Amino acid sequence: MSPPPDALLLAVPLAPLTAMLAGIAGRRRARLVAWWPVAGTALSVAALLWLGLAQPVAALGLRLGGAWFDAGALRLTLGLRLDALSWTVALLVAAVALAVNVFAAAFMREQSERAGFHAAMSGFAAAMLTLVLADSLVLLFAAWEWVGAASWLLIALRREPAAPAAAAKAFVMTRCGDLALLAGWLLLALLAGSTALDAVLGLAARGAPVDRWLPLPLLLIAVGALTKSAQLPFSAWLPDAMVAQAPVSALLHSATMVAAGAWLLLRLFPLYEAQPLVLALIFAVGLSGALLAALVACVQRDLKRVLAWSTISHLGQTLAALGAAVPFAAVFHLCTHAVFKSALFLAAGSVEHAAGSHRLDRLGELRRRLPLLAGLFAVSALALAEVPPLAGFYSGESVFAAVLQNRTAFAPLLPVLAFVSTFYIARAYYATFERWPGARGASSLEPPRAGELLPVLGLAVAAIVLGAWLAHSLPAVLGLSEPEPSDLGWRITRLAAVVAGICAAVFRVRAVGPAPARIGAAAAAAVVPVRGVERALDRVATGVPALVHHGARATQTIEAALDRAASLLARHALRLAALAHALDQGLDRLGRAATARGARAGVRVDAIERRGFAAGADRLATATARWARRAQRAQTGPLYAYTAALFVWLLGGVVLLWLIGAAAA
Amino acid sequence: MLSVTIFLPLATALLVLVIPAAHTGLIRGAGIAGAAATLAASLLLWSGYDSADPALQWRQRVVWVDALNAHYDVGVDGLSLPLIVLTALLLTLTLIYVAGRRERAKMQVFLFLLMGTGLLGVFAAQDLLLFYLFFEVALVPMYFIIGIWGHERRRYAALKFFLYTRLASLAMLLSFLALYLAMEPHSFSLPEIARAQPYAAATPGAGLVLLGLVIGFGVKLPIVPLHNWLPDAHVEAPTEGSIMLAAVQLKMGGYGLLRVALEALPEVVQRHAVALLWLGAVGVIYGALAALAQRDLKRLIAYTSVSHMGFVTLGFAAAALAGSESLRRFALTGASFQMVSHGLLTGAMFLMVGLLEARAGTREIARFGGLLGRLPRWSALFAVLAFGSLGLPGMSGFVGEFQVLGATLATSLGAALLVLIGLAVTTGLYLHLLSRIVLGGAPASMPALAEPPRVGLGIAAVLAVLAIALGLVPALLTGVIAGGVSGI
Repeated sequence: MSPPPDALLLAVPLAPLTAMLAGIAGRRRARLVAWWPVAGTALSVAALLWLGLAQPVAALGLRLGGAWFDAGALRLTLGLRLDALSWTVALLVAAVALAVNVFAAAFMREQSERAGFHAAMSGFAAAMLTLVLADSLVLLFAAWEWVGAASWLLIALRREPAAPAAAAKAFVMTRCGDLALLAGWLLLALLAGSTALDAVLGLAARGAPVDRWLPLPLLLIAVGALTKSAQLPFSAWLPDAMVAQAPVSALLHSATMVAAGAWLLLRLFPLYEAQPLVLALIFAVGLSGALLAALVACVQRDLKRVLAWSTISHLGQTLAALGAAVPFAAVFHLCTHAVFKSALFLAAGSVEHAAGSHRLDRLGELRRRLPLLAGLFAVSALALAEVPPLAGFYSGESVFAAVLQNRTAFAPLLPVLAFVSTFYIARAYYATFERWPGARGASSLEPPRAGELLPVLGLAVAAIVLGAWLAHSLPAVLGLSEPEPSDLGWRITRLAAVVAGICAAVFRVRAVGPAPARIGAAAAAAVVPVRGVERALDRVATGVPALVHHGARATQTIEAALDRAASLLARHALRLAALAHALDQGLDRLGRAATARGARAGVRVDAIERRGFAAGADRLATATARWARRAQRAQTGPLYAYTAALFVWLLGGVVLLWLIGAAAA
Repeated sequence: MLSVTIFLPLATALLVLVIPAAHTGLIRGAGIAGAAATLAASLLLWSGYDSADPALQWRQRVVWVDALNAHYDVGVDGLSLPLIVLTALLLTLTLIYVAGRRERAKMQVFLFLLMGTGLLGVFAAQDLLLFYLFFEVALVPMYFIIGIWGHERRRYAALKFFLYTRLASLAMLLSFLALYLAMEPHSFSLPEIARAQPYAAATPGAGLVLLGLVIGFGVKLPIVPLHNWLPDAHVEAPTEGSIMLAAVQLKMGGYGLLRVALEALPEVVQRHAVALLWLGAVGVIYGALAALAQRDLKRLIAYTSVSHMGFVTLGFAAAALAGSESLRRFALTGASFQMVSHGLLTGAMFLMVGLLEARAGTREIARFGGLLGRLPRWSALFAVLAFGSLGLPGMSGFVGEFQVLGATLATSLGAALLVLIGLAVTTGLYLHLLSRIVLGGAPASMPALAEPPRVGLGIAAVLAVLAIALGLVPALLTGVIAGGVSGI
């Protein structure tokens, strides 16, 4: 008996969620704590595989969920949706998460923050799978925010002085994009009357009055997507986020979370299809970002930062494929990139563990002592460099063909990009693992653990075979059209660029080491101000907060002015109160004088009355005085007396009115 | 039943007066029991409420001052019921929080319970004179709470609070009188005024009447140029006072705007709604920016209140501007939801700050750092509340805010842009705060700390759990609100 598909689908995000809760509840069980995320993501993988094997993936069309609540005529829905596209990407996410969690179990063994870390990794997997499977804009957005929060937590947990600031920067910058996305999806949902994906995608066919409104929300959503994918000019947070532990960089900041931007655009692609201007914008941002980020990667001195800029560059290529209106190429590149980049990040983590550093100028000559790791890194690097027949070759070809087909004029830029990409990754490999002048090697090496190597091995194998397999099977599964394959001339050109890139990097590092070439940098700076780009992006990232702080200071001036106005008013009010007091005393004196005269005039009446009335009045007066003293003891000034008097007066007035009313009736 | 709910705190307060001051435990116990009974009664109201019926329920109307045609007239709908339950809940939790204190117990319990009756009455009154009376009954105890239990500059703060609220009450009263006199025959009855619409035509005085209401409620809410009393009142108020002030008292302003201004003067509000919308949007961003400039943790939270309550003004104005009934409901549901959500989250936030201050003896942000290592429970709870306050989906703040934002987007893109920037600043603010005090290293001047008492953390956790529950299942609240919203 097989479990019902709905339950399996629910289990995909719920298994890691349960793992998170279990991890929190059992945070003191040090041995078990790392295996919860592994179990959770393994269950997700199993559930997805089961769903995919039970019926042809291409025929998947599972929905579940319903209304969340209604607000006016807008129906907010929650739901999951499993179709061929979300199945593919969800399986990718779950599988990479599984590999990374296995790695993390070994990698984090000595870290004091590991209980929180593993729980957050489970939580992230749950949120990311929800994001991919969401059938509703509001659920997608919620998951989008949760992965951001998980990213914050995972960076912040690192016990490094730079971690809190980097975590805050990453969250705040992406959140600015999230807010654009929020505005965008709200507008879409208001247009559609529902947040269900089908209703929203149905807007594409609604015709004239709706069409006029569509570009704005789609643009806003694109801004959110570009921020999440760390595209220019919103990319400054990603390199800083590299302060996080290697598994975090591998899972969140290369394979899955940053790919969410591309995923969102893929999901809403039927709407984007009809917006050539927005698509052109996405293409322009993607391709220019890919080129610039690749150039910036060439001059990084830190292995993880090379990989971070490389991630920006590859996500840029993915978005460029989308911008060229070929979603197939985007999905394809998304998948292969996730695999080889997470392998590279995990390998970099192992290098850091073994050699104690990830700065390129402190590494070198590691191949002799870590041959397996060097081999795995090399394979993944070659996959990234689009060397046939590895994964990157197929997906890179697909991206290139997409650009060639729909944005032909920009196609020649891609071989250039291939050259630069190959250069930086070959440089990173060579500087880390081979001998170069001044290479220190590592004095003491800790051999990597089997638990670390196994997942890297798995991912590297996937980086070898996945390309050919997906190129063969993916088009049929997704039902998306492939771009026209490019001709032999282009293929040879691109291969030549790759070979040239490898050669250039090897010669360069062998001759002078990983230091960025002065001549080369100068030449590059003449064409593209690489350093300038990096610095400008940083300036945006620090300038905006500075501006906000100016604004914050300005409010303090206003607050001070309001304070002054209030105290001025208070002083006048007190003066007025003093005046009233004086008047009161004057009246009092007048009254006393009158009483005295009256008393003199009617001594006999007074004598009679004294026994009865005055005794009562005396009692009242003493009571009042006692109350007043008590009030004073309670540290109350005249103000409270006034307040209380006012209050009593008010109540008294109301009672009086009531009495009058009752009497009149 | 409704009147029982309203007057249960007052009855308990009078009972407490009779108990000799030496029996602290008895006084505290009676206070908590009274508040808990009020909460139970309010939950009974909730369970008996029929959300399909937009009319006032649990209505009770008897002649009060016949000469003025004023009635004791109370009733609840979907707008007021959540606030009544919120009041009863916060009153109970606050009294539990102070239960350990021995000094001046009698007066404290008395004042809080008296305030409770005032607040419950405000949310139930359907007669403007009665509304005004309850409004004052709710405010007066606060002067004493700030003035007696407050911190160093309590007299200044109390004076400021006194002046602002006094002038605001005056403006409000004048507007009430104007509405009363405009009715023929003269009447304070809100449902009657809403039906008759005395200012429907563009009469010259109509704008002034609205101005009076906006000043009267805007000071309490607060709307931005009228907010200056709030940070001082919050900073100087004792923790329990801040909780009630932020969680419930501010809602009197928001509730008043939606209930009185929007029901009695819908056309007039609509005429001035664009200005009000911008006031709300400016409030959101101004409060966030001002919060960012603070060095005192409590003052910072106070300014975030200004920012969060800007959403209520926005929802109020967007509802008046909305082109369709659907959008109008969207805005009003959002504003009402935001009031409850803010009550839970900010009430809990003030409690957390109070707990920290009680341990550390200071509220200066610069003196804290790396609290995660020293106070793990406090830090985790604080982080959860911070993410809730910045509008993370899954907690209640998001639900109210996105609805108001959606309605604003549909009415004015410019104002919505301002709100979005404000939200971005709010995010930066909380993240900055978290990386400053929860993470990072401890400064040398950090006082020695121990985890706060369990009772305090437990109360904050209850509020956080409620905020999460409402964030995950908003229908718990929106179902009830919807009935009230369709009536406005």
